[in-house]
Formats: sequence, C-alpha cells, structure tokens
Amino acid sequence: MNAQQNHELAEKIVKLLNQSTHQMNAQTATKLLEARKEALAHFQEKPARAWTSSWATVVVGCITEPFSHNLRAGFVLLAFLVAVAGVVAWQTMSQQGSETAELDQALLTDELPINAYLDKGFDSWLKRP
Amino acid sequence: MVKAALTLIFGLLLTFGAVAQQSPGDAVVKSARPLWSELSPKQQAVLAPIAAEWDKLDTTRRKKWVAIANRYPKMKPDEQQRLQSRMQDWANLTPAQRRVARENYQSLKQLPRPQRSEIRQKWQQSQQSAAPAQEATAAPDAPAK
Repeated sequence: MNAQQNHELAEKIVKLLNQSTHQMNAQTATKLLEARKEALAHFQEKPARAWTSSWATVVVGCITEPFSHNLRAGFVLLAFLVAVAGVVAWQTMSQQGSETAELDQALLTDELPINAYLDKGFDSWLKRP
Repeated sequence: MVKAALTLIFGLLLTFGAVAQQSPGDAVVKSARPLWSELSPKQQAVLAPIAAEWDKLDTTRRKKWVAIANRYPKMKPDEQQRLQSRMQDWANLTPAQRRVARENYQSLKQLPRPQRSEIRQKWQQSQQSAAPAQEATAAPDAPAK
C-alpha cells in the first residue's frame, strides 16, 4: 500500500466517522460528553501534579517573599541548606583525601628527592627555566 | 520568627565553616581513625617508617597513608624503595612545607617533558657541585690532629 492509497483510505474513514457523528442521537452524545468531562476531572486530580504545584508554591514563596511570616517555608529552606552543605562538605573531603594521596604518592616516589621541591633555587628555575 | 530562623541558618553556616577550617587539635587527633592497631599487618609493614608519628596524625592524613599503603604492592621496586626512605621526612615536614613541595611538584609536572628533565638535571648538578664545596670547607679542620 503506497502513500496515496493510505491517504485515500484515511479520507474514507474520516468521512464515515463524520457521517456517523451527525447521525448520532442526543442521548449517546450526552453520555460521551459526560465521560469526557469525568476523564478530564480525574486527569486534573493526579497526585504528581498536586505535589509539583505545592513544591513550586514553597519555592516561589521563598524567592519572592523571603521575609514573609511563613515559618514552614523557613524550616524547609533551613533543611535544604543544611542538606546541601552536608553533601558538598562530604564530597569535598572525600575528594581532597584521595587527591592528596595520589599527589603525595607521586611526589614521594619521584626521581627527585623531597628536598628538591623545597629548594628555593628550584622554585626560581620553575619560573625561569 | 523568620528573622530568628535566618539568624539560626547563618549561625549554623558559620559554625560549619569554623569546624571545616579547624586545624587538627588534641581532641581531633585523639579521636582520629584508624588506630595503628586497626591496620592490617601488611599496611603496618609498609607504614613502619611513620609508626612513631601515627598517633600525631589526624584522620585525613591517616586515611591518605592507608590509601598509599594499599597501592604499595602495585608500585615498581625502585618506587617502593623511594617511598619507604622518604616517608618519615615527609611526615615530619610542616603543613606549609608540604604545601610548597606539592605546588612545586605540580608546577614541574605541567612543564613539557624536555624542560622538566632539564630542570631535574640542573638541580642534580647543583647538588653535586655543592657537595665538594662542603667537603672543602670541612677539610681544614681534619689534618689538625
């Protein structure tokens, strides 16, 4: 079946559906309308949407009204800051530890002794080789 | 009420900053881990040169040494030898000296390879020429007997 045949078949289907719609009785039309309304009402009551909007309200409230008397928003902000600070501190500390271990190992096993890297003359050669 | 909450937030952040910046005091060292007795026999053998200093190290430095000890078996024999001989000197340096050495090492590493080996040679030559000079200054006292 090529594209043109597809198009023709689709046109026929649309035509038949339109004809049937015009011939539909009032009772069936009312039932369909009610079913549609009910489906839409359920869609709006989805819990995920409600959660998102409540969080959005809190965040927007924190940004737009930082000095409002909303104590709950204050505590949410506090908890958020503490959590972020904790995560950042933990990551920084663990990263620093492993980086220093690698660096110190490389330095201690290098061809040149430690004294070389503490030598003031060495420091000047690095700047002007 | 919100003012109080904000004050609390800043207070906590300041405290956190102060704790993070704190240098290892007695309390930090006393609670430092792992203890020497908690190390495996293999780790103890590698870290033997700094066994006497272990109790003075804070947790971060102890963990760093444990990480180095764990990598020890994968090092080349000459690297193992260098590490063992330099460990104690390194542990006895001040934090400022260790920082300078790390910075210089990293600066050297960033240079192109020919330039790096040139600087290495220069330093080694300067050490060789300094050694006879030291012997010469010490020599006049020797034949006095």
